[in-house]
Amino acid sequence: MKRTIFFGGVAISLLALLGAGCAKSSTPKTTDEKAAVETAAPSADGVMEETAEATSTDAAEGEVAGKNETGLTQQDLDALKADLQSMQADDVPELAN
Amino acid sequence: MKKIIAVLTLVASLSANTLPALAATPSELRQVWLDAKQVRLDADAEYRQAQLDYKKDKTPENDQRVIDTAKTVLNDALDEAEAWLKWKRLEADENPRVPADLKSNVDNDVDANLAKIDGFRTDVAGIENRLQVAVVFLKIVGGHTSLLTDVARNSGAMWVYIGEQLASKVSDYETKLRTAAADMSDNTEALAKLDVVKNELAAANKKIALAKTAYEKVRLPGTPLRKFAEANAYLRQAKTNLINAQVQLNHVFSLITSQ
Repeated sequence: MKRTIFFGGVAISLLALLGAGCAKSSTPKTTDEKAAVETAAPSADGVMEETAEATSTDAAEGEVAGKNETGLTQQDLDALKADLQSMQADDVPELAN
Repeated sequence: MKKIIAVLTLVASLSANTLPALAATPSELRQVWLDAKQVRLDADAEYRQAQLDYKKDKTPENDQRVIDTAKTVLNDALDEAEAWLKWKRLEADENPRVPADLKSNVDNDVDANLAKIDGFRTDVAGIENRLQVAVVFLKIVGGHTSLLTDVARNSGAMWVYIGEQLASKVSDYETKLRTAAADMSDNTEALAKLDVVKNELAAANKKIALAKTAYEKVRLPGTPLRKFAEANAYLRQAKTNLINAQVQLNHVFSLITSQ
């Protein structure tokens, strides 16, 4: 009986870990959601500094090349497009209709 | 050994049912809601046909069909409301731009209304005759709206918040590109496009403000779901304006960087 409980506990722990992994990493996402996740960084002020730094670096490289004095990158504009396209507002039908 | 295998089988079986729910995304739950809505519409058509058949021929069988189809459509309406609430909760939870207080409001409203749905299900299960169908139907039609009102208003507040952030970002990009365009040898085309951005942005901000006002009126008594639809329409127009603005920003960016 003790062995049963032990193995059962081990199995539950493993499956819980597996479940958490599925929920976090292998969840299938739509293109919009992927875009929203990927593009959330530059739009969320200070939330993900790494991406913000990467954007600044890209801009700096552009400036060095003399091509980009805007302080923006094409990725910034693409990210904005994805964010805008992911805006949703679905109506709820009334039962009485 | 047999006991161990039995325990493992049981755990695997339970996990097979619970893991997909854990792994659901907002768009998957939205699809669950859309499917539930279609199921309810189909059931509603069957209920209406059963009522017509009963009017033509008042047999005990047709009477029973009215009761059975009514119970089905009521349960399906509750499934639909439940699916919508769960989708709204995950949509708020998983959006990094939504502030914590809004997430918390949505979460609390969803919990309260899911509990109400359980109560309505008990009412439906107790229906035994057509009189009870009418009574419970009226109760749920009124209750259905109240189930969704608070969450609809909070979702609207969330969408407005996101819309305002995106409009602010468009404005920021417009300013940056206008500053860069000032140094161009020929900036006529770029400035004209940036003027279009300004106009689209002004229109979007106006629509977002109108949506915000309409979402705040998503309350009972009244017609909250119609107000919600009205606010959504404003927000969809704002989305179009902002996308138009982004297209122009993209053109201007190309003009500046290609010089």
